[in-house]
Order: sequence, then C-alpha cells, then structure tokens
Amino acid sequence: MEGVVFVYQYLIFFYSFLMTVIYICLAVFGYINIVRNKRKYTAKEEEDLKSLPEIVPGISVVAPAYNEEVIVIDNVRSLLNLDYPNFEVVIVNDGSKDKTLELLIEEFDLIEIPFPYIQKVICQPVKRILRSSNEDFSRLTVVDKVNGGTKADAMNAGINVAKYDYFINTDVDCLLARDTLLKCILPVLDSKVRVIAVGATLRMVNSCEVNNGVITRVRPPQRVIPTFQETEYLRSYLLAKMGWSMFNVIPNVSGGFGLFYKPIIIDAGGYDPLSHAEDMDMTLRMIAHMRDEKKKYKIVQIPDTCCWTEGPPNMKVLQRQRSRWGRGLLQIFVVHRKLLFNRRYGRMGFWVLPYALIFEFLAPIIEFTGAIFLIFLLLTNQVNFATFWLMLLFVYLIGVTISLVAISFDIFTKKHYNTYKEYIRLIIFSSLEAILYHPLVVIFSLNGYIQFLTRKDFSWGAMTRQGFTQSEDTAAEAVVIKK
Amino acid sequence: MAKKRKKFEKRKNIIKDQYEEKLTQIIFSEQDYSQVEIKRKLNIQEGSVEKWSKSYISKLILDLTNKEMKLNVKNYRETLKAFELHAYWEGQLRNKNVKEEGIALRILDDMSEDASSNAISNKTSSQNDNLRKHAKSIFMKFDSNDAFKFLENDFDKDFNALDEVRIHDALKDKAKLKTLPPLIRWVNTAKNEYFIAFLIQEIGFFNQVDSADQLIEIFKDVQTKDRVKSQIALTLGELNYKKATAALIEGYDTNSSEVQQSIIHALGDLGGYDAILFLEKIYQETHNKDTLIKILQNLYMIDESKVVFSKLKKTISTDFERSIFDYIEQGLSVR
Repeated sequence: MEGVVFVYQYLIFFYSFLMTVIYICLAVFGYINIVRNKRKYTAKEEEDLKSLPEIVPGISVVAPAYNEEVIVIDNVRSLLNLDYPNFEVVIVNDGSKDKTLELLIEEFDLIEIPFPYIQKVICQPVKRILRSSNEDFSRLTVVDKVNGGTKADAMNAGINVAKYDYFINTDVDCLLARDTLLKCILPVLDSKVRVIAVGATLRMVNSCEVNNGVITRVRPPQRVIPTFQETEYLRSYLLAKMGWSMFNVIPNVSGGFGLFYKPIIIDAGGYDPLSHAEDMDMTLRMIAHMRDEKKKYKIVQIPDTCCWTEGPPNMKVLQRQRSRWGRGLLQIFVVHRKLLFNRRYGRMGFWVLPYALIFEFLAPIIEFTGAIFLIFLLLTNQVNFATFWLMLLFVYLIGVTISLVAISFDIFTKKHYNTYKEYIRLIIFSSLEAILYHPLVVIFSLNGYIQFLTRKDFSWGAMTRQGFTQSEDTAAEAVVIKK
Repeated sequence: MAKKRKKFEKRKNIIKDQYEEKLTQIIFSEQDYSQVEIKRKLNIQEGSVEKWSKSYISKLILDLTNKEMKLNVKNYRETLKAFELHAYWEGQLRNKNVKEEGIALRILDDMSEDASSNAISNKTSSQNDNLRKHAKSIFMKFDSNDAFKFLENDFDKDFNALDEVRIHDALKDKAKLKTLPPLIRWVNTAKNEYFIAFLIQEIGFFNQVDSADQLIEIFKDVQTKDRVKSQIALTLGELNYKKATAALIEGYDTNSSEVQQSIIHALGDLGGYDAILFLEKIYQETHNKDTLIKILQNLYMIDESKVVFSKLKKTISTDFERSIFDYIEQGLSVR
C-alpha cells in the first residue's frame, strides 16, 4: 500500500507540474500571438475591405433556431446589421413548436420561394425555403425543416442552402459584434495556406445592454455562474487557443461561433447529428480529411471578442451543459480513437488528441480520485500539513494567476467594460473559482462520462432563454426550451 | 496599462480641443488657403508643434476626412505640409520598431499622395513579411517613376489574398490618375499561379480588352493551370470579348469542372446564338446539380426570346429541375 501511495503522489505531482508548465507556455505564446495579430490587422485593413466589395469573398452566416421566439427577432436584426460588404444570413428553423417561424415571417415579410435544394450533407428534410419580399431584408434566407433534434442536423441544412464558400457557424442565442466578419476574414486572406476554420473569443451576454440586437454596453454578468464562466472563456480563448494557434494545433473551434471553409466541411461529411460535441468532432474530421488528402491547412484563432452568448443562469442549466460536454469529450475519444498517437495524422495525432485526453478528459477523474485519496490520507494520518498547505497555496495561486493573465490579455486586446471596477468583479470571482465553481464542473463532467458509459439521459441540454432586451430579474418569466 | 490608456485619451482630447474646430473650417472650406495662411490660422510657428502631438494631429485629420462633407483637397494637402506630417511619419518609418513602422505605413497610406516613395522603398526589403508586402503595395500608389516594379517577380514570395486587396486598391488609385499599363505584361513573366490569376482578374476589372487575344492563347495552352484557365474564362466574359466564345466552347470538354463552371459563367456574359446552343447541349448532358443550376441561370440571361429556355422546360422530368426553372423565372437566382 505504501508503494501505491508513493507512486500516486509522484504521478499527481508531475501531472500538475506538467500542466502548469504547459499553461505558462501557452500564456507566453498566446501573448505573442495577440501582439502579432494586433500589429497585422488594424482598423485600416478593415476599412480597406469595406471599400473594396468587388474583391472581398462572400460569407454566409448560418444560425439554427429551435423554439427561440424570445430572442429570434433581435438576433436576426443583429445579424442583418453586420458590417461587411458581401454576406447573407441563413436562419434554420429546426421544426420549432413555438412561434419562432411565425414571428420571422411577420417581422421580415417572408414568402416561400421555389428553391433548387441540393442535399450535399445529410439532414432531416427541408420543408420550404423563405425569403423576404422587402428589399431591406434581401440578405435573409430562412430554411424551414423537420426537427432533427440536434444543432448539427440544422447546421447541415444551413450548409446545403448557403451560397458562399465561407460560412459562420453560430447560434440564435448569440449576438455577433458588427465587425465580426471583417475580423474573421482577414487571417483567411492573409495566408498562403488554405485556412479551413477561424475561431474567436466568446463571452457572456447575460448583463450586457442590448438595443435592437446591438450591444450598446458591455458589462460583466451579474449572476454568479455566468461570471465564473466569463473568466473561464477568457482563459480558454485568449490564453489556451491563442497559444495553440501559434502551432496550428487548435483542437476545437467552438460550436457557438466559428468561420469555416464549406467545401472541406462537405467533403468531410458535414456535422455529425449523433455527436454530443459536434464542434470538436467536426474540427477533428476536417483535420483528418486534410491529412488524408495530404493538403496543407491552417486553423486560426483571433483574440477579438466576436460573439456574446447566454451563459447558464443557474446550477441546473450548468449541470446540463457540462454533462453534455463531458459526454461529448468521451465520445470523441471513442469515435476518433484511431487518430490517437497515429503518425499519419501528424500534430493532431501526437499533440492535440493526447493533450485533450490527458489534460482535459482525465483531469476531472484525477481531481476526483485525488480528493478521495486526500480523505484517505487524512483519516490515516499520513498528511504532512506543512507541505500540504504550501502545495495547496501554490496550486491555488497558479490558478488565480492564469486567470489574471487571461483578464489582462482581454484588456490588452480591447477594453470592453467601461470601468476597471467591473474587471475587479472578474478578479474576485477568479479567486473564488477553485473553491466554489470548479468542484461543480468536475462533478458534472464525471456525470457526463457516466451518462455516456451507461447510455442514459442523452437528451440535449435545455437552455433558459432570457431574451437580450430583458433584465436578469425577469428570468423567472422566461421560456424553457428543451432541445 | 490603465495609466497608458488615460495618458492617450488625455492627449487626444487636448489635440481635439486645440485643433478640431479650426481644422474642420480649413479642410472643408470652399475657399483655398496658402500654407502661410493655414499656419497663421492654426497658430503654428517654427518648432511650436511638439513631436508627440503629430501622431494625434494626423489621426484627428484622418478622422475628419471621413466625415461626409466635401473635402478641399488643396487645403488638406497644405495642412499636412504645415504640420510637416509626411516628414514626421517618414521619420517614424526609419525607427526600426516593427509596430511603429506598421503604424507609419498605414498613416502614410491613408494620407495619400505627397509621401516620399524613397522612405517607403526602404521598407520593401524588410525581413518582416507583412511590413515588406504592405510597403510594396503603398510604393505602387506613391511612386511616380517605376511604380509597378514590384509586379515583376510575382510581387513577393509570400504573395496572398490580402496582397491582392492591397494591390487592387493601389491599382484603382493609379487608374484614377492615368490609364494603367497592360497588366498582361506581368502575366507573361509571372510564375505563381495565384498571382497570375489575380493579374488576369484585374485585366477584366480595368477592362484591358487589348489583352484578350493573348489570354485566349494562354487558355488554349495545355500547360496552363486550372486556376489560371478558370480566371481567364471569367475575365474574357467580363471583357465581353465575343471572339472568345469559340475557344471557350471548344475547351469545355477537356477541362476540369472548376474551369467548366467558369466557362458557363463567361458564356452568360458573352451571349450569342452559339453560346445559347452550347448551353442547351450541355444541359442535356450534365448530371451535376450545381452545374445544372448554373447553366440555366446563364441561359436565361442570354436567351432573350426564351425559346430555348422554354424548350428545355418542357423536358423537365424531376421536381428538382422544376424548382430550378421556377427559381430562375421568378428572378430569385444570383449568379
């Protein structure tokens, strides 16, 4: 037993040490990447693109909607107001049971049109295509389809209808910054190698002021869980993904927002409706496809916040979200196990997937078993408290420091909040994250793994929509939507 | 970081309070002013404008020029000279700091004209890819002697689509001053297929019809890459060069689907009896749904009497085909 205790302790020590080193390296590379990006792409480049519509590529913005009557109008208005010379908006009504489609028809003067629909990627049948009879909304197309039960299925329908080679994958519960398309297309243009996907920073819309689908004032979330998640997102996007992006090893372009090259998505078979992590699954299949075809590719992350999304307002929704992510992550390793440590898939096989396996998938398991082990050590009086407190403090400070670095990267990229006082709220929550929030994430992730292994409760996570123009106090009246 | 931001905002406001109103009166005035008059109005004396303020003044002037008011170009240029802004930014270009050099290039580009191509020329051999390529495109805008020299040798070894945007912008500016030289000259010397395709696209944009015959010859060459062939077809269509119809029709069967799509598009621009008959013929033979839509879109455009279009409509055998015809007839399709 003594030998097991000894080996386990050392394993945990080296695991934590390696994770810390990786995060420090990511922070350094992330910073370099942000600085490079800011130097290369300025308002001047964006203005140039806007003034030359004859040469900029078109972009389709595809957003599926299922029972989104509370927010759909605000969102579509916001999408139609994007600042880019050449784009279309494709809203996929995924068999909504509420008034989503009726509201769209009424608000945007939609009429059914004959449309030569080609199913390039598989999805549930499309019932009809609608366009506006009003010239002001000529960029809008609405696809009305049979409910497929997943976002992936609805995205595939949108891809089948989208007319441009590049498309944005987003959600109707997300709001995009007006200059999103300009910012995303710049790294695509500025590359000799085909850029197959571009990711950007997502953050919480929960307490932002929104007027007619446009964010007029950015605020940190007032509720507890979205505030924790705001910092978590900043760490993930500005630190980890910006760092990975330096080496073209981004493992996942978020399902909430990403720009994709459509022909590769189609060649790779489109989004998998059976996947619980359709975004990571799609990213991996795109990479695998490019490697199989022996074609060079790039996946880029930009530091700018392009997308604001609603964070889980309460514990129940957080549980559903994290359990689904947990199921999805485990499913990824089951489905794509052949890619792991496979030389044929280059960096994806040797870096991306092993990293995700060891430091993302195994992390909740290690943390949980670590906690049990600690209890055992406490009960058997084997804890050296002097070292214990020192190590605990060290790990805690490392975590807080990483969050502080991510917040400072955010300010460096663009100061979104009006006052520094609002950033202090994020810092305070970062200092509490390890105690109040992280244990919940660990438990919910493990719950997801168990659900996947026991094959139960595979329904898609429900989200309580509050509507962009509502305040958080009115959440009780909000509509509960089950996907 | 916060301190730096505060300092920036403070200085910006100082400059705004000091100059915004006067500058607006000068650069949007209907009356022309001399440099001496402008200096007097702005209270500029020898050495009175501090170096740090020139950056803020430049940005203020550029912001003002974006206003939807009629700019007095003469007064604007004299104002830049009065503040010696070109000299300041050309100096910034020499300070060996990539960030500052990048800012200086962009400001000089925005200020347009009067910038010294010599100062910019130094940056065209920079080790920094972005700076070097940007400098080359700006050089093309400002140089009055050998502006197009960087179109030789494929522009740059790292040529990409963002360079296309910048070169296109520079060529547009140059074309406003004087007719551009035939771009086909550089098509013949270039080796990078992306650069060749870009030049051919520009030949169409700037309507250089005289190059059409040479483009047809390149199109016929079996060594020519698909990307280039595809762009030649589109450009010949854009130039509305009717003589190209036969060559395009002849080349259809022996080329890739990428080139075929461009040929169909070009025939839609060129029109004519031969094009209509050809599109009718390939409609019957085509099994690719995207191509079917494209063929009918273009046929509908050039078949003025709609005789052939109606004839094909009578042969409809699937719902999909019916939807294409309805889609196009209702004017919903965009090529």
